[in-house]
Amino acid sequence: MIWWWLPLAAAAPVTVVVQDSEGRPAPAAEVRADGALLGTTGPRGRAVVDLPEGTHTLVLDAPDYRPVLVEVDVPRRRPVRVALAASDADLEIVVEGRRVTPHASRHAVDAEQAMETPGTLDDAVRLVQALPGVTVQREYSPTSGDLSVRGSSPGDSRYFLDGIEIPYLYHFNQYASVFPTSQIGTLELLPSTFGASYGDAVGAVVDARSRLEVPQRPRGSAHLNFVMAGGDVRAPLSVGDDLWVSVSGRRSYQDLAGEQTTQYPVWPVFHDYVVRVEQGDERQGTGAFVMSAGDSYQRAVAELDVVSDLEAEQSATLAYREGFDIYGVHHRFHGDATWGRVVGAVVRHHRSGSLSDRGAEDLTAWTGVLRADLGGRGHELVGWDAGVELRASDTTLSVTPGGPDAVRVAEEVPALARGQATEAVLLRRQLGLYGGLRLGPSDLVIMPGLRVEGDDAVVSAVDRWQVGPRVSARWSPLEGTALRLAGGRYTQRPDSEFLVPGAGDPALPTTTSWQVAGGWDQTVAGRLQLAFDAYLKREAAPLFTPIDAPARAGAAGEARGVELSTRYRLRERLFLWGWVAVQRTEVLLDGLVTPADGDQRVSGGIVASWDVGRTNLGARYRLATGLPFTQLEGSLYDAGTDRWLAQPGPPNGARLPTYHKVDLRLAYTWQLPGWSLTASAEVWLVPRTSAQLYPRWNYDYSQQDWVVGPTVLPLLGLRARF
Amino acid sequence: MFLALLIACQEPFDVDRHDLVGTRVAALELEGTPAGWRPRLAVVRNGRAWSDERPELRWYWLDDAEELAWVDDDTTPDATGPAPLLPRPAPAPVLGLWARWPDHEQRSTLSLTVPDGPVVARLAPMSVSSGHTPAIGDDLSLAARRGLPTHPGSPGPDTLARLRVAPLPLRDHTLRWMATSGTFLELDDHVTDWFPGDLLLDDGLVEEAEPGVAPWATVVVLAVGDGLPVFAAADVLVGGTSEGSWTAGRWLPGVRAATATVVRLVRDDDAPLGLRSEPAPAGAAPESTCATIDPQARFDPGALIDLRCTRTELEGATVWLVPDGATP
Repeated sequence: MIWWWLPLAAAAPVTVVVQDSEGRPAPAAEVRADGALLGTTGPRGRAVVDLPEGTHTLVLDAPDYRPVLVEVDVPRRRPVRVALAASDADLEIVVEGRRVTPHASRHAVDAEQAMETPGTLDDAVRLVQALPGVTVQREYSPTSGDLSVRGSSPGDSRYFLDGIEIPYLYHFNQYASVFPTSQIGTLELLPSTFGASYGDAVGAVVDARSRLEVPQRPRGSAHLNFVMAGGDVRAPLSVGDDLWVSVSGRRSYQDLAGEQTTQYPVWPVFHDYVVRVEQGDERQGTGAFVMSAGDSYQRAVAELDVVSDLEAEQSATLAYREGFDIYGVHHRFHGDATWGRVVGAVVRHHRSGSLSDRGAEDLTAWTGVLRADLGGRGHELVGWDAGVELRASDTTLSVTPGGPDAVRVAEEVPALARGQATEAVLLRRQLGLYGGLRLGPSDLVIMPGLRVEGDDAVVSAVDRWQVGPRVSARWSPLEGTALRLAGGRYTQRPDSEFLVPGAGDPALPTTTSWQVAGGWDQTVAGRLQLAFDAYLKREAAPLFTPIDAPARAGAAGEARGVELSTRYRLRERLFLWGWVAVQRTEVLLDGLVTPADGDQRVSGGIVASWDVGRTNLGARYRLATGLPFTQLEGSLYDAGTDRWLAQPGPPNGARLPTYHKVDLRLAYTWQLPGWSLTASAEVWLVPRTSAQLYPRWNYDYSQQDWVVGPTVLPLLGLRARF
Repeated sequence: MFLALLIACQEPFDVDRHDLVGTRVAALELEGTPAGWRPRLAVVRNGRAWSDERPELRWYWLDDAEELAWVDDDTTPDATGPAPLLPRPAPAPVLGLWARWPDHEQRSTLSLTVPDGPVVARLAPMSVSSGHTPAIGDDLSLAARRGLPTHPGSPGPDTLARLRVAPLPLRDHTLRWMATSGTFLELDDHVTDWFPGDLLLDDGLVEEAEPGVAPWATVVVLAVGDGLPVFAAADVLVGGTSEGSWTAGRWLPGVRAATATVVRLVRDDDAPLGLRSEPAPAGAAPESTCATIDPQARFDPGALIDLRCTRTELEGATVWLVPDGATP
C-alpha cells in the first residue's frame, strides 16, 4: 500500500480546461498559483499543470476575459473546468494579498471595488481615499482632495503613473482624479514602510499602472454625469505584431452650457486626456504616450454674497490656471530569470494666478525623468531587484505681491498668498538608486533593501546624500495566514517651489523618518479576508507650509496606529468590506506637542455591493472623528486699515464634529448587441450634525458659525461600453 | 467650484462692520503736534455714541502690532485716558490701545509706518438727502441706484437716504460707513445710500424692507488709506421734525437756537447724545467742562463719542450752544 501513496506525495498532474461563456475553448489562458505561472492553455483550451497534494487556489487569466479563482484539491482525477466571462471591466483584478512584495503594507484597488463602491463616482483614485489608514475628508470641504495617509501631510506622499510622478491628483483638489479609471490597469496604495523601489517620500505612495493588455478588437466606452463627459477607445493596429492604440479624454461641460455667476465669471473647466501607442502588453512591450490634465477658472476673491454691491464691484478677480503634460516612452521585458521596465519622460507642470487689481504668480517646472526598475530570480530561494530614478528639473517662479486680499487665494496660488516678490529659477538634479534581495521560500521571505537619494539642491554638501536601509519579511506558517513586518529609514526633500530663493528657503532641511509596520493576514475559505496592521512612524524636520509665511521645518513628528479590515467576496455577486482605524499623529512645533493636521483618532467604514442579475445595489457608511483645526481667540483691530487681525488659539486645539456619511447606489446594465449601457443613481447622505465643513467668522472674529455642506446629494450617471 | 457654491448659500452674519452695536472702538485718529501725538476715539457703548462710564484706556508704544496681544495688567502703559498727549516715540512704530469695560474689551493698533498726516485734513460735513421708497421686488442694484433721484431733506422710516461726504483728494483713501441702525448700500467712494430699517436684497432685488423704528441714527464715517485715518460723526433724523438744534453735525433736541445760545444740558436716553438742551436760567453763565473747546465754553458734542466726557459729567452743565451756520 505504501508504494501507492508515494507518487501522490510528490506533484501530481492536474488538467485544466478553460472555455468562454459559450463553451468555446479559451486559448492562451494562464494558469497561476501563488503568483507563479504554472502553464498556459493551448488551442483547445487545455493545460496540464503539476501541483503538490493539498488544496490550491488557481487563477485563470486570459486576454479579454475576467480572471477567475478556483479552488482545487490535489490529487484530482477529473479535469478542472472553468468558464470565463468576457471582460468589460477596466481594471485588472489583483489577487488580493497573494503577491509577495517588499511593500509590507499594501492596498490594491480592483475593478469591482472601483466601479461598484458607492460614493466614488467610478473613480478608482477616489476609492483610495476610502481605504484603511487614509484620513476621511469631508466631502466638498477645502481638504476633500487631500490624501493624508497614516497621519502624514498630503505633501508627504507621491503619486506615480507608470513610474512617472504626477504633480497633483485631483481636478480642483476635490472632484475627479486626473486620470480616468478606464486607463488604469492596477492601482495600489502603499501607506507606509514601502520597499526601496520608492523614495523621496515620508508619507505614502500611490502607484498606478496603465492598462496595457492588447485589445483583440476595438473596445471603448463613453460616459456622462452632471459635471463631465468623456470617452475612450482601445483598438489594435496590427494584430500579429500586438500593435495597438488607446485614446481617452474627459472634459467638464457646464461652461459650454453658459454657466456663469458673479462669483465665477468664468465657470470652472477641467480636462484630461491620454494618447498611447503600444506594442505588446504589460509584461513585454514598448510604447509612447502623452498625458495632459488642466484646470482653470476665474473667481471673485471676496465672498460676494456677504459684501456690499460696491465692494463686490471693486472686488479683485483671480484668474487661475493649472495643468500638466507628460510625454513619455517606456519599455517592458519579462524573461525567465529577469524582468523590468524602463521609462523616460518629460513632465511640464504649470500653475498661474493673477489678481485683477495687482499680484500674480507664475510657476513653471520642466522635469526630465529616467526610471529603470529591474528584477530577477537567480535561484529558487534568491531574487533581487534594483533600479534608478533620475530627475532633472528646471523650476521658474515669478511672484508679484498682491494686496491684503492675496491671502484669500492661498488655496490656488500659495506663493502669491505668501506675498514675497520673487523672480527666480531653480535647476535641480535628484538621483535615487536602490537595490534589494528576496531571500527564502515563498512561505518565509526576507527582503532587505537599500535606497540612496541624492539632491544637488541641498545647501550642505554633507547632507546631499541620504541613505535609506529597508527590510521587510513575510511568513506564512499556515495556508491562508501571513505575518508581515517591515521597517526602514525614509527621507523627503521639499518641492522645488519651497526652495526657490525669495518665495522659498533654499536651506530647508531634509525630512527624515524611521518607520516600522507589522501586520497579519488571514484568509478563510478563500473568500473571507481579515487583516490587522500596526505602525509607528517618527519624523525629524517635518515640513510646514503656512499660507501667509514661507515654508519651515518643525522639530519632530510621530504617528502611530492600528487598522483592522475585513473583506468577504463572492466575485461578480457580492462583496462586503469593512475597516476601522485608530491612530494618533502629533508634531513638535515651536516647543509644543500639537496634533497634526491629519490626526484623525478613529475612522471606519462598511461597504456592501450586491449584483442581482443586471442590477447592482450598493451601500457605504463611513464614520470619522473630527480633524483638528485652530480656533481663534479674539482679534486685534488695525485702525490704520480698518481690519481685524485674528488671534489664533493653541495650534489645532479644537476639533471638527464627528463625520458620518452614507452613500447608496443603484445601477442597471442593459446588454445590447455589441455594447452595453449602464445607468447609475447615487444618493449621498450626511446628517446635519456632520455637515459642518469648516468654521467661518464675522468681520471682527467675535462670532463664529459653520459652512455647511449638503445633507442630501443625488447623482446620476450613464456609461456605454462596446 | 462646489465649495464656492456652498459659501454662497450661507446666511450672512447678523452684525457686520457697518453696525455700531454693542460696545466697540469704531475708529481711532492720531493727530501730530510739536509736543507729541494726541489720539481721538470713536466709541460706541451698548449701541449708543455716548457712555455714562468711561472704560479703562491704556496706551502703549510697540515695535509690532502683535505685541499688544500679550500686554496684561503687569505691563505699564505709556499713557492712560481718552486723549492723552503721547510724546513722539523713538523707534516704536505702532501705537496700541487696550480698552476695557466691565463686560468687554478691545485691543486696537495703529501703525505709524505711513506718511505723517491723515489721509484727509478733515472730513467735510455729511450731507443728507432723501430718495426712493423701496418696495418688494424693486431693483436696487448698484446700477439702478445710480440713476435714482434724491431731494434735500431727511428720510422717512421707509425711505432711502443718500449720505454724501465731499471728497478731499489729498491721498488715496476709502470711506467706511457705520451707523447705530439701518442698512448701508454704498454707491461710490464718497456716497452711500442708507435705509433706516432692515433692507434685504437678493441679486439686487428687494426681498425684505422693514421700516426703521428709531427717530434718528448716529453715523460715523472713517477714512483709511495712504496715511493716518480720520473720522467724523454725524446724526441723521428719520421722519418728522422735532425741536432742537444742529451743532457740529450732531442733533441736540430741545432748544431751537438760531444763534449762539446758553443752554443747560439734561439727561435724555432717547437723544443721539444722551442729552437734550433746555433754556438756561436767566443770568446763568456757561461753564467750562470737559466738552467745552474754548474760553467761551462752546459745547463740542464730539466729546461724548471720543470719551473726553461721559454723559454723567455733562448732565446739568451750562454751555454755549452754537448751532451749525451760526456765528460763534
